[in-house]
Amino acid sequence: MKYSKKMIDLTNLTIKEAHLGLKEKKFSSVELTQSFLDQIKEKDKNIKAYLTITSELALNQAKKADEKIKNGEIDILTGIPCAIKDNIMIKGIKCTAGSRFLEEYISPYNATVIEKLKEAVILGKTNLDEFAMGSSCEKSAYFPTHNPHDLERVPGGSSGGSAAAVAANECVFALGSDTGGSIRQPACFCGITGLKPTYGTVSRYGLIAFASSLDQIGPMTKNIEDAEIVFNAIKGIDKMDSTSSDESKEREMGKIRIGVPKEYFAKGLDPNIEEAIRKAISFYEKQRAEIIEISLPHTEYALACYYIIAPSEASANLARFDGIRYGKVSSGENLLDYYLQNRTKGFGEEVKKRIILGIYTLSAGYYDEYYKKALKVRTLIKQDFEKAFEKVDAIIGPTSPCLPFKIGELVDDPLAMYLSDIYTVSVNLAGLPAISIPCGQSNGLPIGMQIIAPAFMENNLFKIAKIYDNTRH
Amino acid sequence: MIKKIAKLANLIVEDKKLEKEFSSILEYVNKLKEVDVSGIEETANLSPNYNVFRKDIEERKETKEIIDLIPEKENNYLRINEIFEEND
Repeated sequence: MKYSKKMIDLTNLTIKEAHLGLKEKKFSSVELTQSFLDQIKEKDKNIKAYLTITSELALNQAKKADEKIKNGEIDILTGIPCAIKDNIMIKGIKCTAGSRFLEEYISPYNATVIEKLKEAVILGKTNLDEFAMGSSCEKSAYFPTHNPHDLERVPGGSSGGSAAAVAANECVFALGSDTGGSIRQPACFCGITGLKPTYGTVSRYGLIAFASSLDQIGPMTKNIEDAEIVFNAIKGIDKMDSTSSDESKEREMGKIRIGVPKEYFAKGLDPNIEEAIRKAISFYEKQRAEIIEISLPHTEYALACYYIIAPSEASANLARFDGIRYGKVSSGENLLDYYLQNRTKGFGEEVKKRIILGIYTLSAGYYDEYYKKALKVRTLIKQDFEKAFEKVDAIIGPTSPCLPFKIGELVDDPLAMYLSDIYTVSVNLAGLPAISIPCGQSNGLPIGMQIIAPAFMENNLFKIAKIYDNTRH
Repeated sequence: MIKKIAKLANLIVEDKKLEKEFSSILEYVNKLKEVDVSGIEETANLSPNYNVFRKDIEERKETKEIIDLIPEKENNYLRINEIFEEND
């Protein structure tokens, strides 16, 4: 018997559940895909998670998946509908990176992660802060995305469209990218699971670069098991990204040792979030984990370090946008004027600010004082983690110090906005894997817990996170 | 100062708000001055790889798609404004 929409809401399924349904032929991938396209049509006018909806591509992929399933060739992601952050390229599909500069840009090739997801069905491209620079999705050049838990609030950012799409059941799973918390903070704000893998484990080829030593693509999902499934599908060494790696390590864990950094519970943390995280830590203790108070002494410098390194790298990465090879938004009287007019009109204010900051910290006379200094502080931050991981298997704390804020609340206060990434940026600076999972609510707004593991130990991370998997129960 | 830096970035900045925000962020990152980094090496990149080489041959196949994106072109050539002025 076929499932009708009345009997079961197909949009509510996890990857595993949808996979079983497809495998047991309870519904087809075309039916599943159509339920999501209907859901998007109904819900996305309020949520605004998607910049582009790729119905034609999705239904074609679903038909192909159904053919495969008919022939008994089914993989875990065959025919599963997903959403892709709009800074990841899909051949023949518009890729804006949330910027006016790329309003007409059609991706000439597939990102490696898209090649790896070729069994899945792509529903569309999701909204983001322009070039992934932001923590609220309000810096998208197109429109802000709304948090499905409270439409007046932000979904977080920069992968806010992907997070909102998963939370509003407008896809089964999504891909995001994380440079300073851009997967984990929106996952936290939208009450879903988001994984930032170890630097290098997922190829960045076809991801529009923001800060190349920090950027990493990762899954945004309904639970931890799904994050693990997507991570295993997209990871791996790639000759198109020379920083990519096949390395994977696993640590024997008898009694699990959990580190709780005292610096993560300092001033500025919302008391309701602190209470929820402390409760989760007690839960681990009841599950016979050993709880160890640790110190990450350079935590207070991480954000400053990040706001030198990320803009420095961004200023170099975004130098290629000149309107000549693609993305013309203006004309000019001469070549220099052409550059000036295009870059001034093409980039939004936040992007310009970060480019200028990066140019400044890399300029002669300030290079040593800012950029080189930040690279040394980065070493200290990395060493803090290395020392901590001699004693513990994972580090637990809040993902964000604050609950999802209202749209417009922080737009004029960039530093307050940046502070919402205070617990996430050090993980990028140190290149570690970290996951944000739901950990209760405060006044109906989601709280997220961040679990950090040593580099390349995603398997340990998943095991520890699953002990506290209340996402679906 | 900001106009000079903006020029280096090929940007025109006339917005006072941006200048104010830039100064407040710069003030914030000055926090790093307190950190003692004597004897500490720099971490610029976390990749475990070092010098990854490939053969110097053309491998890309999407030339047409890339040329299609060029806003102003003539016979597969980019068209740009003149660089040299006459009488120079």
